[in-house]
Amino acid sequence: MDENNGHDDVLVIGAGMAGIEASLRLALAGRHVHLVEESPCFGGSVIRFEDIYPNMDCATCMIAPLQQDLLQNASIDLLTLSRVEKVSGNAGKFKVRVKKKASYVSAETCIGCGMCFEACPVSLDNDFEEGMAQRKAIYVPAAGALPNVPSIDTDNCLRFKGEECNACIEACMFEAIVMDDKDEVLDLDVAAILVATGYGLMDLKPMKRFGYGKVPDVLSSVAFARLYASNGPTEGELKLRSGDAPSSVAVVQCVGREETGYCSAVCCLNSLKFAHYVDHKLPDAAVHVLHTDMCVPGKTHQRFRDKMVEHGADLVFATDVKVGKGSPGVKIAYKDGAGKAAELKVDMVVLAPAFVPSEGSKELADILGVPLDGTGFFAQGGNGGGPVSTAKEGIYVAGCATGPKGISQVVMEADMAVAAILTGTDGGVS
Amino acid sequence: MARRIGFFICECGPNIGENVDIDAVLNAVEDMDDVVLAARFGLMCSGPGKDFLKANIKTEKLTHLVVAACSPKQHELTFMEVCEDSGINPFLFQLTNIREQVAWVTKDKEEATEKTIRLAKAAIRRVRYHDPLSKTALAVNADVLVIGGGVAGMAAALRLASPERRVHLVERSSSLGGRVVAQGPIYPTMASGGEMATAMVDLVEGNDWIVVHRYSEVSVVVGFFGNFEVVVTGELEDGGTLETKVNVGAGVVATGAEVLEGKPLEDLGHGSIDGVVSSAELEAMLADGSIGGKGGKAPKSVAFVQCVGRDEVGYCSEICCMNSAKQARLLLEAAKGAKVHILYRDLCVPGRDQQAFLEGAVKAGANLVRTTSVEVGGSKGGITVSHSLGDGKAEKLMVDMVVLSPAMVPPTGTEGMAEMLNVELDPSGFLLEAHAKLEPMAAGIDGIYLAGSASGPRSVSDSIVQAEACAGRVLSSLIPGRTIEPEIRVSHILETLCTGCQTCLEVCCYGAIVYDPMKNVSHINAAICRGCGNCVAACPSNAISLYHFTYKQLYQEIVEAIR
Amino acid sequence: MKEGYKGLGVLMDAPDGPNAAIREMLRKGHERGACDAILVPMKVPSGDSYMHVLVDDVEMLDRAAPISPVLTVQGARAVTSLTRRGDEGVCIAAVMRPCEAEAVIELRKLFQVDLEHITIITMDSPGTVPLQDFARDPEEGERVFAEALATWDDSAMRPICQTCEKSNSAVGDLHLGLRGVQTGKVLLIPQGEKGLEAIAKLGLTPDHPIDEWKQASDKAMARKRGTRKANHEDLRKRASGLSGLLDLLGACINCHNCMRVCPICYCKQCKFDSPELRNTSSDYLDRADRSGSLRMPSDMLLFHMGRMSHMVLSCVSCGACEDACPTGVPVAQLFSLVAHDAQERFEYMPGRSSEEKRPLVTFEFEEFSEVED
Repeated sequence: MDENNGHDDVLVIGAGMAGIEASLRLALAGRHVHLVEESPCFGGSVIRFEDIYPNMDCATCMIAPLQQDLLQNASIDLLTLSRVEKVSGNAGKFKVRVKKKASYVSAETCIGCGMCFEACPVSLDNDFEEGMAQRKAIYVPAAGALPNVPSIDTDNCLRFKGEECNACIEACMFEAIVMDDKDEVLDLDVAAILVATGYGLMDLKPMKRFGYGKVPDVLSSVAFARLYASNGPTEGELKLRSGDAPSSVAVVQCVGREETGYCSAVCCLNSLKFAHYVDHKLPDAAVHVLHTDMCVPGKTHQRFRDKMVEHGADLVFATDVKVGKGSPGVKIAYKDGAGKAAELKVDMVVLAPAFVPSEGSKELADILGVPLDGTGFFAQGGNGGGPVSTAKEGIYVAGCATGPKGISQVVMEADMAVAAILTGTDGGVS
Repeated sequence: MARRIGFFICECGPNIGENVDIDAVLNAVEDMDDVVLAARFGLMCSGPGKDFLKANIKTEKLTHLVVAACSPKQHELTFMEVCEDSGINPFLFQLTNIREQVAWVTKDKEEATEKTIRLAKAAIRRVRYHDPLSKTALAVNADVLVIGGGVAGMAAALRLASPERRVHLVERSSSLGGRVVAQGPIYPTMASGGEMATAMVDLVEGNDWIVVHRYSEVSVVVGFFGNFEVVVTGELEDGGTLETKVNVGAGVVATGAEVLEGKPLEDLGHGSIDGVVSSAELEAMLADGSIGGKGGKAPKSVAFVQCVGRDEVGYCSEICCMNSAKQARLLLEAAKGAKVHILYRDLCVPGRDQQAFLEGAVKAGANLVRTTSVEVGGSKGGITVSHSLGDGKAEKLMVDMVVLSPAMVPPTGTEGMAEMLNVELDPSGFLLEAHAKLEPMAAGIDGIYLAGSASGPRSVSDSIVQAEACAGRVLSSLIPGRTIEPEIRVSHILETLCTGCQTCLEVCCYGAIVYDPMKNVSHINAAICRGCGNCVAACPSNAISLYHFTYKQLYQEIVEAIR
Repeated sequence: MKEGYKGLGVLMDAPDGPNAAIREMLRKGHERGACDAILVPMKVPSGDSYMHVLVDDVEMLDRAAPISPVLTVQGARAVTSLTRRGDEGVCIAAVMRPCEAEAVIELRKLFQVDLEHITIITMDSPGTVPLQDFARDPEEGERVFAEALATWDDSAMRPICQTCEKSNSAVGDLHLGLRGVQTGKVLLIPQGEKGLEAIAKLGLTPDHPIDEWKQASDKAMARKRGTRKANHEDLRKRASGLSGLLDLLGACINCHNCMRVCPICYCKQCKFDSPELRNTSSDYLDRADRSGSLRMPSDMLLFHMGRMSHMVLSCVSCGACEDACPTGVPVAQLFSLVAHDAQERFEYMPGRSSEEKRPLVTFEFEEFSEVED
């Protein structure tokens, strides 16, 4: 590899599907990559799912080889618990300041045995599991999360609150807990920057008509995905709050589409996958998918839809959906295809919220000096370039940071960005 | 030379040390044949652990190494490097996983110890039958073949061509540009597709590193990633053909898609009722100005019928809703106040900008009608379109023009292309991707990539994204001057046992096997084989074996484990 | 069962019985250029056995016994040796039982035969006499078989024939229906293009409905299905567990005859004959040490299980293995039991069609979904 003093290094922001793909490809091409990830683990949204439609491939199995490559790749600096604080300069010679939060656990000596979190006396809601499970103040978000090195949540650790606690330090046989670990500030020289910060999901609570947070057993799609996941809070059992298995489940589509003004592209297929989940785990339970337009684009997805219908999924055209308490269960009022009022009573409702820009997009856009578009996603194709270019030369964007899309499109954009970075020109002709 | 096997067990701190009786394991294995040393260490993967291994290999003159520790995923490479540093062939080594597979899951210490002993003995027995294997490095050709001169093919070629990388662009017809060259505005930007394609053609033609083969088809592709031999057959003016041999390291297939024709359209009056046209025909009329534009006519009332042939092909063609929205906008611009109905089944407008674009058409006056079935008939005053609404009631429209949006289908010749490249077809007849999610731009054969609609219906912009993704893959893995190291643990066929039944060809996922009809045996190309072992398991004659996973090695390992 | 050409066949005169009628048809076919040579079972000169013979001179056909009383060398083996080195354009008509033809079709899928210029002629099979019985007393064997052919009583035929539900299957390009066809006649049923071509060359027109033959066949096959089920049930009990299996195979003398006569065992060298399975005496001692004792020569069970796993999906239950066993091991019946179960799981029927892919080379996402998780 050329000695270039970091002059052709690349900064990749976000270690989800797009960030991982681009980092691995860039490293393969001989570039040094700084991969910055805010959370303690990498894998992004994909690792929260058990299976991937339409073939029901195991998601963790699919991404595990990439994660392994990432861990072992000497050309990639994996900066978890990190965020970009400042960017200056221009294409070919950006100066980037990254703040890496202390994890208080040495990645070199920790072997990921988990003794420390067993010992930790603090217990809190685990966000990764949508609050359906607890975690400790020293933790990894979920079994199988990588890197398999815990970190200390300083907001909740007793020691950081001034109390006397040595539980994790004493439990660790490898002396891997480093209480004097310090936050680090890294100043990097990079030639190009790739934004791959993914998406967020629309906050369900303000949309009162869907009953989220008020009506029991009304779940978000992510919560349902975690219920089904074998490394999730119920180890894969689909349960109501009472602990019983639901005998009927309704999945409501297009939640928040009116507010956002766009179709989030993957929810129909994701919800059909949920129908498969129910069919798989609870073959006797009824599944209703309440949809407006069934969006199954591409050569394989309609077959998937047809298969789910064959397996008993009930597809219901529904507008004006309102979710309220039933007695018992959950009551859904809607208008059917003829515009007539109709009702459905089920044990569980899963809401499929719209994709929205990921948290912090605005701040990052300001730091980078690139614009967002009207929807709050990163604006594409400024500067006359293609869909992976931004208004600023040398700064690229890929994946759901520019809007909702499926994994395959995310991967293609990542590779398109790689092509642009490696040839040093802006993305595309369209 | 006599074998001198060293056995090392890692305590992994308390992880293995506390759950397995290490001394009992050492006692159990130290008398085995060829074992000259059995030793323990606290943390074998640490610096001191590796030094401990190296020192012992040297002093005991070890020829083979067995380590009982964690998962091979974690540290197989670590210990193989120790072997290499110490002058032992890294394949004369075996790692057995007693952490994830024993210490962490078998709670009873006695049982865990017994299990560890079995695994350790099995590994020791196995390593006796290991063969030293060595890597080979192959030089690569960085040039690229691009099949198809539409926008996808041109985008890939333009991105890839450079002084170090020549691109051979093969186009069946007389000119580059494909379908888009004849198009007017394309959504969502409403920039001219034709102008964009023409600009790309100019760039391609002006690029010294792109060799354009017109009137040509690729007739032979043999070889593997980094070293393909290709024959391009060109048609000459005198009717003869010219064969050109080209060597490349990778290929991009950008052969596009075609629009469905025939019965589903004819059933809706195409070809029999005046004024019933396909979306492609309307596109041409819009582009050449016979509709809209200066002096062009414009229909006063139009009905778009979506999803024509969708049931027949079994999939949603993804781009037709947006295309009809665009054409509706153009028609409404051409004739203010015209009535434009879009009869759809499910609106397919995935993504950030699409719905807004569609709403733009509605604002301009388009009328969206959700319907379940459509019939088209001719009558004196125009065309009647009857369709059923959501409530089961039927509605009749009288229009001047009906635009059918047919499904996109694989182009003719796709099957032959697939066979030549050894790429599989999906159930719809498009070229199949290596992985629908992770490698949507690659075919199942290493070094063959898919751009544009060759692997399924795609819009112009998505086609270009995919073409650029192909380029990204090639640019990052096929680098001028670099060598590639093929996998060593691959299958090979013993000719004396092979009966030529070709079962292996059918189960090989990588196209690594070819049949030699002269000798009536099959051959495995080691540069393509990934060592998955499918063929080994499927061969009815036991003629295939996999280096490092031979029958003998597996048999000896199992015999010892179940003793 | 295939339906033939639009459910029609040719009703041919057979005043001197079906064998004579087939001989006459072969002679005519040769004369009219439908084939260059004929492969047909024929009595050996000594008169005490039958073999497939390649006939070039039609005069020789007088000695042909198209429906021979015994199955000695499986017809598929004969076709393999004939075409293994590829096809040279010589047109051959091959006469054989349905089970032999099914094996040919399996071998076609395995590229061990080339059928481009071979026309296969099959017939309703009354079964065959157990080979060893026939060898002991050929005259009695001839008599028993003639009676079976006249009455369709299969009780003296091989056990595997008594349970064969496909003995009337119209597998060949031409099939001769005998069962339920009026006395003094045979019904010639063409299949596919080759069958139609052959029938055209013979100057015949399919105009006779095959319904009667089909009904009689279906009825007979239903009865055999019953016998097969009972036989399998009994065998399943006897063969259950390692000890049951060892009892059943106990008389095996490791001669590997069953493998040598099996049409589906087409390997150049059998794994079980290979040096790879020859171990050192200390290895054997080691194994004896583990289980207390070791039967020598060893690997008897491994041989049968190994062979079973290799070929059972293509096993057509022709019974050649059992005929060849010198010690009377019911090896064909055992294989038939396992074959039946295995083939049923994949909805596969060997020899049904050469277009049908073998389960080993097909992959379906939903396959065996019940064993997931």
